Amino acid sequence: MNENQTIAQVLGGDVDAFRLLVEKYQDSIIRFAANLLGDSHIGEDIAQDVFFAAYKKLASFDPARSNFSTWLFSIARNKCINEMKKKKVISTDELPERITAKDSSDGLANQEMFAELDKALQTLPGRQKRAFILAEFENLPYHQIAQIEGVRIGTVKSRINRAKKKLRAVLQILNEETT
Amino acid sequence: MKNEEILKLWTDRKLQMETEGDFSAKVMSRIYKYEEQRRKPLFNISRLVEIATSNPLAKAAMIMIAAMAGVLRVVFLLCTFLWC
Repeated sequence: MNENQTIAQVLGGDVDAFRLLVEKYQDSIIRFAANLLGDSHIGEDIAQDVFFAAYKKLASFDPARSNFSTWLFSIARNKCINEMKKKKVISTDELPERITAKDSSDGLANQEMFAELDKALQTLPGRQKRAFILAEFENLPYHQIAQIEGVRIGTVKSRINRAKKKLRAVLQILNEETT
Repeated sequence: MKNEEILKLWTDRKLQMETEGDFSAKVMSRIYKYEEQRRKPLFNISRLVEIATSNPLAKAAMIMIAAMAGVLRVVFLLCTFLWC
């Protein structure tokens, strides 16, 4: 059974069929929200809200305009933006000037590098962070990200490039500190 | 290790993030509750009582109506007493 058939089934009154859609997309949506908000618990709560909202407005989904995953990610994006406004998650154009290595004499272990990258990700401006997460963590094509963000493909590419540049700069600082 | 490799390892690790097994069950239970509420008829006595007791505005409206009925009753009694 394809996705549109499942959606038609849900709209026809088969509530249980929605479980198939939840199971198909839960990992991506939870991961997206958790990475965007920098908190896996809040991410999971938001993901629940996303699926619940998707269920409530499923009748407004138009397969001719976008595919289901694009529509779902758009809901997730908006929910996360609202959550960030509520929680006032730190989002600035500036990266921290120096990141202190715990043990610079022995060099940073990968785990520490990843932790620093996680921190750096949270300091990226929201637009760059979303584009980067959708492209690099969710492996979505640029045109789909452009649809989710409501911008042109060129804008998506430039946001991703800027995000990567900042993350590379963080790695550069870490490398300099360890040498 | 080169920066690009570290970035690649980091993004790969993100993809391995595991989600809780009962996530879909939680979502579905919320949906079933919503459907249950939605399918309840709006105009039966128990539903009206439920709405009135759970909604602060409905509670305030009920108190206002009761207070107005009380005042009208006193006015009616006074008028009846004075005209007699």
